[in-house]
Amino acid sequence: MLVTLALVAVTALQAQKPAAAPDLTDPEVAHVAVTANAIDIDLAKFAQTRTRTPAVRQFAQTMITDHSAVNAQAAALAGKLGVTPADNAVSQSLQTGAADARKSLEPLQGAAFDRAYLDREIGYHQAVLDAIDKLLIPTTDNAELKKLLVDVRPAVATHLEHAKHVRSELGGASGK
Amino acid sequence: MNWLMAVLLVAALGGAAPPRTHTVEIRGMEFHPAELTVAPGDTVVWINHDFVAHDITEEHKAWNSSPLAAGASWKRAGGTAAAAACSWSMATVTFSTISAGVSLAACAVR
Repeated sequence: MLVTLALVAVTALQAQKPAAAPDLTDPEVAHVAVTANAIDIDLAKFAQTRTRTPAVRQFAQTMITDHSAVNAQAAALAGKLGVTPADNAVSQSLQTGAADARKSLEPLQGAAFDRAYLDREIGYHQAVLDAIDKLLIPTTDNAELKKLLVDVRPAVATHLEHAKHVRSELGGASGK
Repeated sequence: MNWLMAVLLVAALGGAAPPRTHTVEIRGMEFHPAELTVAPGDTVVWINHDFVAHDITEEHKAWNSSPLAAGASWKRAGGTAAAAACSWSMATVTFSTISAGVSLAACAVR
């Protein structure tokens, strides 16, 4: 769901400016970055209250630790640059997607929860990678903010591979 | 003659070269260099340049570092027969083996 929403957001912005990358301001890019991290931290905290699988619990802890570290860097950079993150359509679509994901995970328990959580994380990190590559990096003006996005990308890609690895060990059909 | 003896002496001492310190930088979720050969007695220093924390773990989990925050470093004397491995703050990595004399160290997400 979130993948769809994020892509819809990207597509919608591209539709507004078909000849160029979507034009977010740097404060808006910063807001998207902080929001994307916060969403994954929140869901990981929820997952830790629900899962009883060590590998899933460890994955969730890695998400909390890593995304908190990235947000600390983003906050430090925003402070240094005097940038106040600004809410925008992409951030809002991420938050809407997060709320939907949480709603769909709420009733699940046990193995069904684990699989659905990892499926969501795979989709989410793929969507974030796409947003970094196609939206955030191209539209960022400030060199330091752009470098932060470039530097963060490998961690997001690793999270995606980690999620796929844990998901494959869980077995079962996708989304079930 | 003296020159030849000196060469032979250097050659003999070559097997007992002074220990070296190798630096491995962690950047972009990868080791740089990705491969490293260490000799008995050498020391390896890992420096984490990523935002996220990483740890260094022996292949069979005989030892590991505490998590290295951004900018932190950690070192361990090499040269034992034990193989070493790298890991991030997660388990899904291939091994980086650092063993005495011979080494293959490739760390990548599998």
